[in-house]
Amino acid sequence: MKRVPELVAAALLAVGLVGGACADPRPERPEVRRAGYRVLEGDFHVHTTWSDGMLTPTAIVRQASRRGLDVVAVTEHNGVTAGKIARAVGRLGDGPIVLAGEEITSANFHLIAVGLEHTVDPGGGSVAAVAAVHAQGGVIFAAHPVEFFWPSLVPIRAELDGAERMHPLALRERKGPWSYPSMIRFYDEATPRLGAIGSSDFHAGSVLGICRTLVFVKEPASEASVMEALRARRTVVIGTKGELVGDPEMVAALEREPYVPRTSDYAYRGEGTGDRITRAIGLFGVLIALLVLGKRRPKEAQSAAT
Amino acid sequence: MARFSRLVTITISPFEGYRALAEEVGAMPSREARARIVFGVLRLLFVIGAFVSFTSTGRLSPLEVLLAAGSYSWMPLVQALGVAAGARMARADTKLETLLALYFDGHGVWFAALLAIVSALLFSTNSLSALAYVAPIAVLVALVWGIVTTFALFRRGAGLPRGRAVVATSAFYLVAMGCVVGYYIAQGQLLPILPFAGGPK
Repeated sequence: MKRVPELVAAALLAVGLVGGACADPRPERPEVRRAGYRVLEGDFHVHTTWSDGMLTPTAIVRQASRRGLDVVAVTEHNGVTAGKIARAVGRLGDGPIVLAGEEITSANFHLIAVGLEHTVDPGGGSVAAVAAVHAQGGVIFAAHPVEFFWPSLVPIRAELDGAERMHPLALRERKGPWSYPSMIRFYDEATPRLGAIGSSDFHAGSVLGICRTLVFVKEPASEASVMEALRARRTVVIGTKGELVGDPEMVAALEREPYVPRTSDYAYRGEGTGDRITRAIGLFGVLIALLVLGKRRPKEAQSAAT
Repeated sequence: MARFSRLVTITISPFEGYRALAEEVGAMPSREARARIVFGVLRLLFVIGAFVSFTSTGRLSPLEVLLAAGSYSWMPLVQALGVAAGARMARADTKLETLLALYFDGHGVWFAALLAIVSALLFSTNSLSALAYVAPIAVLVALVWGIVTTFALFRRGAGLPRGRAVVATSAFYLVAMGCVVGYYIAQGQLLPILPFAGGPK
């Protein structure tokens, strides 16, 4: 009888863990083609535990698969090691294509670089950063180019390969120098046209891929073909009102034959009643375990010891 | 209270809880004290792993729990370093293994905050809205009560006078936070984002 609470906790945890292992959906990623290209869904702005993210590089690859992404770039703040680890993990399986990158981060600018082998130091300024990324064969985008960053970004806009046109900032109603409308203006006023990028700027939670980029790649889909598509700016994002923004030819192709990006359960709704029940049981199991495991020694044992 | 874990005892009444537990741990063989440290560390890593699993997938996924627990395994090391630094600075007589065994039973308020956040995400109709209300309150309460609990560790767990307990608590946070800040500086992630970093724009 004395052990009942502990046994209950263990049982609840076991049910939660088994349920969690069984109900782990991986959406189908059917091959879709438009205008002679393969359409991939990508997220090119992702952080890990190597900086201020909550998931490891390995967990990011698994999460990208869960979210139905075809390609993901791990872009750690001022470092490529996490991206290279994730890329190595991605190459082991048949999940999403994983690219190594960096968010070149300073007080004055944030730039997303994809397809890097070596870290680019932000200390040399934005002009030097762009040159360093291109020298490595990478591509470089303006990350959330809100008005706050324009003094550093506008002078280099013509040298960039793309800019984030869709970002979780769109889901909030911020005003002022960090507003989503100012981010759109940076992209819309660019000449020549920039590659349209949609990214989650993932740090934590369920929201990897909540904003994503449609990338039109030559087959077969690979790291190299994704990079080629990004250099060619053959990307489209879907705006907050469903509008298509990006490469005019690809936009026209999607208007002729619409494409709906894969949905994902960002709101923790669960996959059916069984999944919902087991996740609640799992949480309850953690709570009970914390309440009852690791008690004080019985008084008689304490007296014997002294 | 005997029906509940030491975690609950210390969370609800840190000063009295640590006073009573200090006697208990101080009297037990080293092997048992070390077993408590190991148990406390594993519990901490499990809760962190569960939190990461719930917030990223909405469920208790074994592999996600393991991956997160592994990646945050630096946390108990940094905390242990902080406890050791605090004890050293305040010249505490209590054995370090006793203090560590007591410390790792003191995370209750943080576990409660993490579970509150997970509950808000899983059971509310609008996860993001619920999170916006629950997370700041939960973290603030955990921060404040966590500092009180750490002070209680040194005041009653180590039996230090008030002034030296303050020194020990401050040293704990300086060392623990210093390790984290030092990591970001070493990785080149902190200094470049500071407004006074200078350099070309």
